[in-house]
Amino acid sequence: MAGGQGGGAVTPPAPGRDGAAAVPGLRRRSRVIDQGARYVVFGGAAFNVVLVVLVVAFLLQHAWPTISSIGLRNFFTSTDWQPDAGISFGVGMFGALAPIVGSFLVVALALLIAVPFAIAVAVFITDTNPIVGERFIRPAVEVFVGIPSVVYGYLGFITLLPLLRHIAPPGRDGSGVLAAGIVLAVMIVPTIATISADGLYSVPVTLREGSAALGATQWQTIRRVLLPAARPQIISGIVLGFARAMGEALAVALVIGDVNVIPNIAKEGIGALLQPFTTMTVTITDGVDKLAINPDGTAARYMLAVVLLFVTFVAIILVRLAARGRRGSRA
Amino acid sequence: MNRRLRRQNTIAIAVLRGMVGLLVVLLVWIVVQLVTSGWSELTRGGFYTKVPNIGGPGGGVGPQLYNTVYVLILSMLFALPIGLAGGIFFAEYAGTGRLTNLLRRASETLATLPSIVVGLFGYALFVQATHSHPSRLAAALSLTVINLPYVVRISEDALRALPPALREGSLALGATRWQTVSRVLLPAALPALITGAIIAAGRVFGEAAAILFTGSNFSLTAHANYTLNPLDAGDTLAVNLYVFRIQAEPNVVTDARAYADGVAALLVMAVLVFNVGARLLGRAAVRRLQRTA
Repeated sequence: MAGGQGGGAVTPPAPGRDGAAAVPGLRRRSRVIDQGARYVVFGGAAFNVVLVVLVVAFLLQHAWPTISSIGLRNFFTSTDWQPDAGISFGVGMFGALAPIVGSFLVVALALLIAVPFAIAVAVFITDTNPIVGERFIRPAVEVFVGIPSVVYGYLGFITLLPLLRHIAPPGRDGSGVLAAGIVLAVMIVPTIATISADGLYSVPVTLREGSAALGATQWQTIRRVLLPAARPQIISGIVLGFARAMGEALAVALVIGDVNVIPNIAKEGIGALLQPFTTMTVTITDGVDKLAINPDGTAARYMLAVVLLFVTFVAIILVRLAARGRRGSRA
Repeated sequence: MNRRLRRQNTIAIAVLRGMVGLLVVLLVWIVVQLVTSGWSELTRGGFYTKVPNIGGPGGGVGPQLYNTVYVLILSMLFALPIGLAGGIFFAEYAGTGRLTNLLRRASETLATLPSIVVGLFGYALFVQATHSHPSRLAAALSLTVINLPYVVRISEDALRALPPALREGSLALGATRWQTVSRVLLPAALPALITGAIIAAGRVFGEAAAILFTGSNFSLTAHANYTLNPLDAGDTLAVNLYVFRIQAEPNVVTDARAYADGVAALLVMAVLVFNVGARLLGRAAVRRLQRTA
């Protein structure tokens, strides 16, 4: 700018940051632009809030018929779900307990499978084999974060279901909670692993060295020092994996069978995991072609979306609490 | 005691490595399986240009591919400027007050919204409230909701990764904050921004649930072929993979399986290309900047 060349003056510019006073017009224009830009970038950030408010408002508005006429108690406790019966008979049933149970069951199974593997990968990358881990495993795992979830579902559909058909009771096609849990587990391992690895990296080197200097074996250091120290971030990773699995629709829809009956675990035992079932997301998805012609069923599906939204919000709060725990333990 | 510990150590670490090995084998198998079973489609000339011919041989996924790219570009046109502005705000303007906190939380919340929830929202706002029908525009706007928080984060990270001396030097020379951002920081962050934008585009490429509700015509055979109208509906590749299962059981309908395998392989290849491309382009941009500097 013009002011900067003012005779190579050694004296600092006058207070009031006015080095460019030589061209007042230009200076004023750039200040107006500067102020305008401030509003524009603020608008970009504020747009996020607008969207969140819009999402919540629209979902609640469209779910309202279910809340007001079916009632939350019926919605959350009944298993009688015939949302599309209204099209032909005039009366539908909107008890959503089965898909809600299904969602939590599938996600629990997915986490049970995924978490040990994810943590193993994280420790492998950061501690036991950092060179191979950094060069090959981490980039590979990151690629898998990017593979579309529907592709995982399709692969499960063409390879996993025929496999599970062999161990399923006769007459079943292998779809169900087990298939969905496995597909989701494969899908979320990369997510949990990368976040956990970041957590392990951020453990101060002195902790590691101190533990080794005290004579601990590598495994003792990992189990008693590193994993506890990185716990908040590992929990964040697990919760984000949980949220991803909970919200996944099409991958699950391809392998779970979409039958709205809670499997009888007491009677069927492990075989119940091979019985076609459903989740909230799958139940929402199967109404996609009747959105316009079936207002009651659509409202009930919006209500399921509200439940999903609520679960996701709780997950975010948990992540934040975990992060706070980290700050607390550092202090 | 000591020997016991050492043995425990050896066993635990062997188990850990074994688990990682198992997972790596699984991941490699996934890619190999998908790419090999779709390879014959990927290498067949008409696959990328012809319209599907379900139940018979020789069709392609031309309209779906076109739709995917169309919706991708349209949604990036919305998400990039807004997200970049948001990222600039968080990196360069935001304080540490309550307002900033609220904005950050909103962005995080948006990032964790399930795709299908965004799909229902998009249907309510972009289709029902506007008294229109599922369309490419509605799909692109819904994808913008999904992608915006990522673009915000990518932009913020790219700016934050710059050495503080750049910023301070520019301000010390008397530049306004916006001059600093637009003439010093953004050009310097360009490689990281390009890389980030490509990775964001890759996410959109494979997105399905939101489009199913807002832009799909839910059919394997009805297409708005290669039109430019944003109000036309049309399936994308990822949506198609789901619709296959519903409309044409891949294990029953002749050739449907081959199509679906081809689509899955194409999606995986696209992710690999996006990933590698992002890294290469980012690196090339760094080199060019260094030459001109």
